[in-house]
Amino acid sequence: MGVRTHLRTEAIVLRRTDHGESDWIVTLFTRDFGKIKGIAKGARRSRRRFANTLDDFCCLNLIFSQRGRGSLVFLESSDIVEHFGEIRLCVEKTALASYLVELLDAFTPEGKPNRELYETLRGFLILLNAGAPMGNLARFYEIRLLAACGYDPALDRCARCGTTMASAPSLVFHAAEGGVLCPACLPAGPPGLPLSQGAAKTLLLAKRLPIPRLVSLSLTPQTARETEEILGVFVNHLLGRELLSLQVLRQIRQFSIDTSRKNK
Amino acid sequence: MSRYAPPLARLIKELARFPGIGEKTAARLANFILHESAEDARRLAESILEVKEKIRLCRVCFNLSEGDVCPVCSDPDRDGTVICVVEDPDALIALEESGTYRGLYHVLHGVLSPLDGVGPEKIRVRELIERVRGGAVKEVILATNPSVQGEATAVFLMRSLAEKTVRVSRIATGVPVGGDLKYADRMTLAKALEGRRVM
Repeated sequence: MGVRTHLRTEAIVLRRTDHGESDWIVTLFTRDFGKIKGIAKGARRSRRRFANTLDDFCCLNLIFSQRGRGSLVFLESSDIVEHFGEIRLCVEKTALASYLVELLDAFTPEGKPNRELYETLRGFLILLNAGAPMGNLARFYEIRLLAACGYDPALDRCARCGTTMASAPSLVFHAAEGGVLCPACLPAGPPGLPLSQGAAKTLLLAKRLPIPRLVSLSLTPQTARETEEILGVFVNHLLGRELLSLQVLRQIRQFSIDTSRKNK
Repeated sequence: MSRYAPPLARLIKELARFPGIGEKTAARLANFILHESAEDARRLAESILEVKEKIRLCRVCFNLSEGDVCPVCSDPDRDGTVICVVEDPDALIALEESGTYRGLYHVLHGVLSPLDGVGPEKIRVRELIERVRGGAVKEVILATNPSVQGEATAVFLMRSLAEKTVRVSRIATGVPVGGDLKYADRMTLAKALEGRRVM
């Protein structure tokens, strides 16, 4: 029988599902090994080895081992680094944190290390926990994640011919083309989405700023609407579907509006 | 092609659909049924059919019930002014077995789970708000699990019921009875201190 090597890393829980009577299958994004999927044997019955750490978007110190050639690792033990208590106290924040992890899960393959992505997710969870404006955070996270995964949309040059668009009065975004297009490259088909220079420049700046400094960057109601639309359409175009957590976030907001209207 | 005789292969296939049952466990269960008496096997088959035919949801609290209203809701000795909200019927049974609660229940049949696409319309939230709007309820106890989804659901319910004239409370979390502080994790200890009570 081969000797199991124990590996240590910091990780964030992306998803947890029940397995059998007493186990969990946990998907984590680790700082050093990228996305991994592991089995936590007996974790549902005895919490001692994992001590409340394997909950959604918890940040933890993890010890795991590889068994054979399968992709499922064996989770040995973990202890908490940060459980983001403030996120848990707000249902919208919980839904948005779910969106952050679901988006990362959808864009990453297993076993491909990406430290930048790990630090991005951790940094945004810290900002969300600290009470940063949720709409802005979602947009800034989307643009940074897309860039880190190699899907950086072209916002300051034409996605087709590369002409600089920095001085164009207004821009038109085409998801299928991967960014904005200059007037000469605009296709004859359906019109693209309008994007102001202000919105494009804010997104470009959001990619460069250190994460803690993003709280000083704001979106006007108009640029918030534009960026939500273009990034939403672009993400859905790349994934071929809308993420579930985003749908639930909308349902929660609508339900709250309906309930308060009924109470009046 | 299956090495089992067709009727046995079919039974294994059906049993393997159960949660947590793989093909090997299904084969073991099928062999057990095969070696049981015909009477025992018939009783098992009849009890499965009976469950499907007779069990429905209580129209008041949505607990599993044989009748239109479950035994808890139809018990005149229960306190109708208190409702304890639980995730599923198993949680209700666990609370009933504690023998300390004498109020009524409301079974949500799930919790808000953004990653699974479960929003407020997929669980029995509107029905709870309607029950509270009825006016007889004075307290709602939120007894969802202390997981991320359970907490989010509790916070959501608390907010949805905030404008009603009812007291909304959350079950306590912290160190379990018979536990040892030195083995408790950081979050549990923080919750235990936060929820301490004067003696």
